[in-house]
Parts: sequence; C-alpha cells; structure tokens
Amino acid sequence: MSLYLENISFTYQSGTPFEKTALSGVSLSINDGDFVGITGGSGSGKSTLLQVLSGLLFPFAGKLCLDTEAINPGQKKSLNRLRRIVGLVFQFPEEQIFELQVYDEIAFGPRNLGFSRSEVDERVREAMNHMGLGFEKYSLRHCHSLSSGEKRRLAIAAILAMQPQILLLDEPAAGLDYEGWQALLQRLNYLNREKGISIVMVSHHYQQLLASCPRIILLDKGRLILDAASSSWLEYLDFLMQQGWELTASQELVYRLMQKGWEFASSPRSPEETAWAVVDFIRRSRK
Amino acid sequence: MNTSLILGQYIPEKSLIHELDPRSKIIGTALLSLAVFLSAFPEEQLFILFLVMIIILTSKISMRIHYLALKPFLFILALALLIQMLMTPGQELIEFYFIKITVEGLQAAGSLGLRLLTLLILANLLSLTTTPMAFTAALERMFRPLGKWGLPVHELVMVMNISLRFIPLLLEEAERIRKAQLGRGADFRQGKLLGRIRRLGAVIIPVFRLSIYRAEMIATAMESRGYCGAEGRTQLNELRMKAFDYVYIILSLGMCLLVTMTWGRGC
Ligand SMILES: Nc1ncnc2c1ncn2[C@@H]1O[C@H](COP(=O)(O)OP(=O)(O)O)[C@@H](O)[C@H]1O
Ligand SMILES: [Mg+2]
Repeated sequence: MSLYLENISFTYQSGTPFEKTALSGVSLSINDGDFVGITGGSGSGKSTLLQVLSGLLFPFAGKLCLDTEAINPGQKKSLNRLRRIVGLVFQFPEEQIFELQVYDEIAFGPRNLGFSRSEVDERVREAMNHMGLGFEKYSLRHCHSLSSGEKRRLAIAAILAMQPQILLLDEPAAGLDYEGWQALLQRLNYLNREKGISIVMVSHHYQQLLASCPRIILLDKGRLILDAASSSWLEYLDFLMQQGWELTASQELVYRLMQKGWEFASSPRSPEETAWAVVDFIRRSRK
Repeated sequence: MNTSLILGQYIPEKSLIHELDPRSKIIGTALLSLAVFLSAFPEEQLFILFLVMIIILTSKISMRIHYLALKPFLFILALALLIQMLMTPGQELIEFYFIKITVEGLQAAGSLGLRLLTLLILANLLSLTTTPMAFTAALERMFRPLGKWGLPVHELVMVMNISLRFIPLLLEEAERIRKAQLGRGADFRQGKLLGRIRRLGAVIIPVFRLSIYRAEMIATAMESRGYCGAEGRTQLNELRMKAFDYVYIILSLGMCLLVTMTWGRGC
C-alpha cells in the first residue's frame, strides 16, 4: 500500500488575519515497508503533515493518493478507507486515554469497526503483545494507574488494534527516557520488519532520527527540503550544516577524519557504527 | 473551525479605537447602545449607524472581518425582521393568501433591523479591538469601589480572565481528541442516539480531566510565584485616560442626550 502526496499545501484559518500557511508544495511518497523519519524546526509543519497524511486535515491544494486511488475529502468512503489504512499516534497520546480499563481503551477502535467479540479480543491481545503489555498482567488494570511509559505504549497499542498498514507517530520520543525510547524503537522496528507496517515518525531530534530511520525527510517552514536515505548522510552533510544542524560527537569525529583524508565505505549512523567504521578503516589501512 | 472567525476574537491593529482606554471603550459602547435603544426616529437611527460606520472605518479592521463577525447573527436578525414585518397590524400594503404586509410592519421591521444591526456591530467592535486582558483590567478598575463592601472584585475578575484564556485551549483540546478518535473509527454523526452520547462522553472525559489537571497546575504555579490575591498587587500597565478617551465618551454621551430629547415624541 503506497501513499502519495503531490504538491500539497495547507493553510490554517485561511481568509482571516491569523492565516498561517503550514505546508506549501509538499510532494512525497510512503511505500511498502518504509521507515521514515520527518524532522524540522518547531513550527515547520511536521504535525500538520502527519494529519494530512492520515486524512484528518484536508489539503487546500494538491493531491493525495492511496495507490492509484485519489482521496477526495468530500467522499466519505475513500476518506474512511484512508483512515483505516493509516493510523496516527498523536503527540502525548496518553493524554487522550478515556476508558477506565486497559482492555476497553484498546478495544474502542475494533468495536467501532464492528468486529465480533472474539475478533476484538484477538486484536486487543495482539496489539498488547506488540507493545509488550502482557495480557494477563495489564488488561484489567486501570489506565491511570500505569506509568507514563506504559501509558504511551497503551496509547500506541490502541492504534495498532486498528491494524493499520501505515503507522504515523508524532514525537513518539517526547518525554520518554533513553531506555524507554530504545525499547519503543525496537518494537517499532519489529513491526516494520516482521509485520510489514510502514512507519513514519516525526521528531525535532534529528540526530536520533538519523540513527533510527533508514530514510529522512527535512521540512523547513512548510517546505520539503530534503528526502534522502540516512545511510548516505555524509553525501549531504554540507547541506545539513547549512541548515544549522549540529553534529553529535560521533558524527563530528567522522567529519574530522574525513577532512584528514579518511574514507568511509558507508555513512555510520550511530556511535556504535562509527566505532566499527573506524576499526574497519584501521584494519584495512594496515593491510 | 479553520475558516471561521472565533467569537470574541481580538484583532491587533494600530488605530485610534485600539489605543482607546478599555474603560472608555466599554462606557462608550454602553452609551451608544443606550442611544440606539432610545432612538425613536429613523433619521436618528440612520445617523447613529452612520456614526458607528465612521468609528469602524477608523478601526482599520477590514470590512470582511466585520462581516465575518456579524455572519453568525444574520440568520436570527432576518428571522426577527420577518416576524416583525408579518405580525404588526395596520394599514395593508400587500395581501397574498394569508400573508399580510402592512405599512406599519415594514416601518417597525426597518427600525428594528437598523437598531439590531447597529448593536451587533458595536458589540463586535468592542471585542475585535479589545484584548480580554484589557477588558478584564478595565472591569477590575471600574468595579474597584465595590470592594469596599467586601465584594472580592479582583478575585472575580481573575477567575473571569483565566476562564477567557482557557476557552481557546479547551476548544483546541476537544478538537485534538475528536481527531484522535476519528482515527480510531469513531463516527460522530452516525449511529443511534445512545451510541452518539457515549462517543461524546469519550471526548468530554479527557477534556474535563485535562482541564482539572491544568487548573491545579496553574493554581500551584501562581502560588509558587507569590500570588496571594489583590492585596498589595499593582498593575504593570496602569490604565490612563487620554484626551481622545474623553472625546469618545463625550461624543457617545452627546449622542445619548440627543436622542433622549426627542424620546417619547415619536411612535
Ligand atoms: N490549529 C492551528 N491553528 C492555526 N495555526 C496552527 C494550528 N496548528 C498549527 N498551526 C501553525 O502551523 C505551523 C505548523 O505547525 P505544526 O505542524 O504543528 O508544526 P510542528 O509540528 O513542526 O512544530 C505553525 O506555525 C503553527 O503555528
Ligand atoms: Mg508538532
């Protein structure tokens, strides 16, 4: 299932003095099995883009297509189809929890879709399992008694129970500690690899995205200015520096070594990969 | 919600009206409204509308915005006029089956329309050109004398001030939660009544919980920064009446007196 955006523009409160163009002329495609990170400064339109992708905001101009079918915001049928294929996890999704018990919260979506009791049960179990919430341990717990990391996973499980083929997450790392984030990232990776769910996540923390997403998209004031594989970041390093990116210590190391004439086979994305690349280079140069 | 103007929205500009002291704006609006009520002759009503139009032009806010602010009321206005037109007995002008339009009816509807329109424009002008902050500061200053009789003026105004600022936040919150549930297959327009009420509850409960949580945080934040009510509290921007403020009030007062003189002589 692929999702295409063509020349999408979106304006908030258009026609009033508070008019604010949040997206202008954005084109991109999300394909099967993609794992995309969207980044950009605060107010660059990241959240707006996710809401357009999920059919919650209608673009003022441009085209939104699901495979070959154009999504017409006026047509409820195609909009509902889009919403069933795309699941959006809002920023701080735990604030939107409203049911008393974990089970009911996750079952809300499947029940709305009109599934039978056993099918709902099946979906809830699977979604909880994906987010590492043991069914026996958690299903009858009160939502408000969970820790904040558990609440975040519960909120994501509630979306997963809709079994979306494309999962969008707005700032999933916000407010999580390093370990919580790593654990969540592993689960997302699993869903992407094993279940074939395309993942698109937004974060203002670009270094984190570079290390965790194979493809990154950079927004600036509502415009898409970069859409590239993160494994080749060394190729567009100059562009990133022009955009005011600060490098992490390991990226800085790679950059300096490159200036000294080192050659890297690929662009190392994390400190671990950097270490291996350096070791690899030393080994090769000894031979 | 994206394309409409929020009711009571403030639009920043640099104009004579914006710079007026909020107290004189409130008093002026009250006096002009009184004048509208007391005016009996169409000439007077037209003259007041003309005056209000001039005030609007000096506000530098585009006519489109004034129209947007009026739009939600136009239907009710039209309905009121229609009823007035059809229900007033008198000399018949047109008769069409059971519909009778009388000369008196037309006159009454015209007069009512002019007056309601002027009042609506006045009220909108006040909210378009005054920030909620300035508005509440003016109220606090104007009602300060009542504090002598033990009325907690400052606290009441503070409550009003904070509630006003919460309204857009709550709307935003409700919108966000509505969207989140749309994405989980909730359909707010279909289904049986009971189901719809249940789904509405699913929006209201998180909004409610969040607002209580927010209220608690704000109270804590205010207290931890030393807020303890009106005692010993001063304003950062003291309200000051300038020459034009007096001109504005006197103008409104004059208008009021003018129509009072003719009051009772008309219909
Ligand atoms: N509901 C709204 N009404 C008006 N303007 C908005 C609204 N939501 C966002 N904006 C504006 O649109 C721009 C993009 O916002 P957003 O997509 O939230 O950015 P990001 O998520 O990248 O921080 C910002 O300038 C913001 O002020
Ligand atoms: Mg955002």
